[in-house]
Amino acid sequence: MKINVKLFSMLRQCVPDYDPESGVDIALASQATVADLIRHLNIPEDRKPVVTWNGRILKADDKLSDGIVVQIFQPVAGG
Amino acid sequence: MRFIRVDMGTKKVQVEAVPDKYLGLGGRGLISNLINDWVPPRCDPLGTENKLIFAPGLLGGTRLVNTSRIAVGAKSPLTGTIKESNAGGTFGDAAGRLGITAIVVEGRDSDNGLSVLVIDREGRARLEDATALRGVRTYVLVEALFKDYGPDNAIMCIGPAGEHSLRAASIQSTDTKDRPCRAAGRGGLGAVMGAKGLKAIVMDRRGDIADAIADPEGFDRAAKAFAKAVRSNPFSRDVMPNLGTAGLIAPVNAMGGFPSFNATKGVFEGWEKISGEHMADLLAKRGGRTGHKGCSQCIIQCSNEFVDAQGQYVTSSLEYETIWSMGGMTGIDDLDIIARLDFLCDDLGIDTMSTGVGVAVAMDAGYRKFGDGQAAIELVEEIAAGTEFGRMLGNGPEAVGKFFNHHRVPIVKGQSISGYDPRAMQGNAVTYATCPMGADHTAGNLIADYVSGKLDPLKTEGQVEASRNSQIAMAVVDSIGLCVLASAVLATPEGNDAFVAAINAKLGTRMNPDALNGMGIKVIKAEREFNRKAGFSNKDDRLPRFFYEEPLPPHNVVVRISDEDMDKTFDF
Repeated sequence: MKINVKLFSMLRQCVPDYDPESGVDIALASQATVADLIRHLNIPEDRKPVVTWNGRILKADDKLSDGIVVQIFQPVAGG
Repeated sequence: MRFIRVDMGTKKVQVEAVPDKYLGLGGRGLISNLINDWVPPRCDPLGTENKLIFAPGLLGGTRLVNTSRIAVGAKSPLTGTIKESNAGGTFGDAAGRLGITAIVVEGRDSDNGLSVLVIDREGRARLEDATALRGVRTYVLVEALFKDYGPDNAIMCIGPAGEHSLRAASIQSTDTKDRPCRAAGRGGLGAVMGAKGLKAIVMDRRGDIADAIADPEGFDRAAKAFAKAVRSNPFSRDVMPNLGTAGLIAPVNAMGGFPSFNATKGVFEGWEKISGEHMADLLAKRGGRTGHKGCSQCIIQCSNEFVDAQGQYVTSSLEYETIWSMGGMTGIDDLDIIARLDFLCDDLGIDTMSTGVGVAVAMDAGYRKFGDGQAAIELVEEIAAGTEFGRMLGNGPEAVGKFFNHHRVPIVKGQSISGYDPRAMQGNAVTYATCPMGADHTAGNLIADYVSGKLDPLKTEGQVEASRNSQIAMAVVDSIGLCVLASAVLATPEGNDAFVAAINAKLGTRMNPDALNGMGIKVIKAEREFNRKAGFSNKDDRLPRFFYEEPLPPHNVVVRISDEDMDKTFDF
């Protein structure tokens, strides 16, 4: 399956020559989870990535679907 | 440990020891107790009986990082409730270094005069005539004051909005580069300062007579551990120095909770053009900067210096809440326009949040078109011109809504919400409704719980409890003088342990975290007691009806927390 990933904050540095407008297309095995995606992108654990899709925060074992666009952030607090 | 008491009627300035009852209190905790004890609850907020109090946090002026907030409080002319609003910059640290527990400004100038309060390196205070500075905007004002009193000062001041007692007027605070760009923005405290006839406080920041620390070695250990926790937290280490609070724009939009077009949409189509990431890229190209240190004792450096296409300074610091109110709410997706609006508000001395929301309400009522940046600038300029609309806008969104008979006015107790829609974040609905100071962006914001997955923002379960806990924790943070952005590390064991250890070392106590919670509860109790005596009840702890009736896209949800559950928030 193929998904499009938009990266934010310092996570943009995790993909060489990242283009914020187009994001990055990633090919994953069918049934891949959020945790698989994070591993595929080599995002260090201490960056604490948060994955959202369709207005929802996803959990590590949530399964991804073909063709979706996900956004990945770092944790934030209010201010 | 001294109070500086300033009577604006008699022009007498007295220094007195802090009564035992108030020892161990600072910032919001001290202010709320003093106002509850000293200010008649039904007084006219702009009259002689109200008191305007400035207080550094309990750890202001110490080596603990990010504790330079200055708290300001009074009975609010915007909400009619007790009010504390705090600002960054250099003033809180300067006050702590001088061993000043609070500056209490009382009475009002009976001759309609205007004064500056000057506090020197030894902590001696005097009032000086400032009638020549009447009507002066804050950037020119502080330039004149630094020229007159020297560069080593911290300044808190009002602009024309405060002098005209407009109910959304701010008190501006100078940053590390001596610009009046930090604000105690909420609650219209600038109007109280203006009504009293006080244009500015100029305080020497080289003081070396801070209150003693009971256990200096223990304090140093705790301070080092706390700084380490701040430096290793991904929020304060990665997001804040690179993007600042504007880093919230992307995740809040992704969650469908960014109130846009006067809170009719939860995602702003143009959000990527006003995001923290876009701003950081833009400023890097133009020669501006993120990662700027705006406040004394800060190691997070969330501030920025926004420059135009020619590299010329426009404003500092362009923050999430302002980008939301002046951008998302008004439909303006142009950071250059938003930055100019931010500067204009700082220069006039008016709250960017209330003003942006007021403009959005006017646009929603059909007075101007959403997205018209030039119109927004002209409307805010009307505050300076003193036109009828300008005075309404300066009095906040409630005044604007009443003028247009418009039903969609996102306020609670007269104060606008912040950049988190209460329908998409049900716990923030609880905080907006029940906070003793009206809708507020720091009093109990649950965005961190939502992003971390700890709490589902769209469900009703757990929201009241989470809001309660967060409001209590923030009452402590605001009393210590800690920056809300550094307080994110209190969610980690190492950060919280170091924080508690620092407070104990300062006071010579052995409080556990539960005892600290007790401190927060006492603060909220004092605030609610004042409000009750001022005529408020649980019926005021409600959101405007449209939040219960108009579903917010994309989740198409309304606020579903019942009134009964709202009333359980403070069941202590």
